[in-house]
Amino acid sequence: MNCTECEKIIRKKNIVYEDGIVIAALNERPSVAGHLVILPKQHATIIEQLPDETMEHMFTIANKLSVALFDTLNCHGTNILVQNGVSAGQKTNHTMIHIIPRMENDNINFHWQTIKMTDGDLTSSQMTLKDEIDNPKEIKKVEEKIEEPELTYEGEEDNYMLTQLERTP
Amino acid sequence: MPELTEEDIKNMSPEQIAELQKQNCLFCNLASGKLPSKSIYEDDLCFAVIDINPATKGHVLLMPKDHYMIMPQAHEEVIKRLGKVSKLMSKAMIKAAGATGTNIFVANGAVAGQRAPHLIVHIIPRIENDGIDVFELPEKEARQEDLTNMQKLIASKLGTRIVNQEISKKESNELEEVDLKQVENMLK
Repeated sequence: MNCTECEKIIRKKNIVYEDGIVIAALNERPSVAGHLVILPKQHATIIEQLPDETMEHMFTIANKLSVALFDTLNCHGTNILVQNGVSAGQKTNHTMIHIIPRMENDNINFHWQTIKMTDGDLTSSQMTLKDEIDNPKEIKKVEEKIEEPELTYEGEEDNYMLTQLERTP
Repeated sequence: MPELTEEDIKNMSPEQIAELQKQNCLFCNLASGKLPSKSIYEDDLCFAVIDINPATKGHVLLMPKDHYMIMPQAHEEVIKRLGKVSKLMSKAMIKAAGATGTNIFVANGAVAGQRAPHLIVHIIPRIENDGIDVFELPEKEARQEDLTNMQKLIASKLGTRIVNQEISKKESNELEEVDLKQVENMLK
């Protein structure tokens, strides 16, 4: 796989932290000084391809880095951000978590406009998501293959998630 | 509940103050069910609801049940769970709610955009041209020298040994000396 982020993981340029699962480095094109990114060593385009344990670990490390930024830079806040998919602002084909130190008047603004929604619309969102979380739908029915149905399903699901995201790296 | 005077609050123990904060926290009241919410998920450590003032349709707020203002206060078990459940939420949005992407966002501190006194992980479903542009990160050019200074500072705090081929021999002699003034200037 030709991935510039995977290459960065190997080169370890500007790294501030490394363990068996992730690497954390300074963003080479930072929003502000001290802008860090956490990359899973396992190549994944979107977080849905990562095992739960990796997501858990990435959050733990994101918090660790956030604390380190508070301590070293005396910043007054931090942001933790994932851009999951092109429509969410993702620019690379390797998933990452951004950790951004914040100060007053630093020209970053994460204040989004809220939209008015009716109670009915909110309830419909609630039902759709709750239903999917409680009873995840299978993307494609795996026909009665007793042999390795798990594997077939996993692969198909990953591809489905990727197609959904319409990735054009 | 009787009105509390400033004097009362001054005489309270930290535990009592924490309890008072919890009682007055809107999100703790959502967690306990004292206030109604559009709940979509709950486990022993955290819960998730639909944001009634969403950035986009289906915007989810994922929160720990215990009262923490910012993530650094939260227990590691809680943080891990938030990571795992964030992925679950994101996946549900893409699979079932027509999202083609998601933003996962945490603000620690008012300056970072935090508006609630309770740690919240925002999971925001995205589609192309949905009018949300705040998650497009601005990019600046950075000098390698500045990055290296910053790297030394943060890595030493984290106890990371930099075995980095990118640092020349000359630089590695100065590894311990981090110019704090310079770092301060960079932050401005």
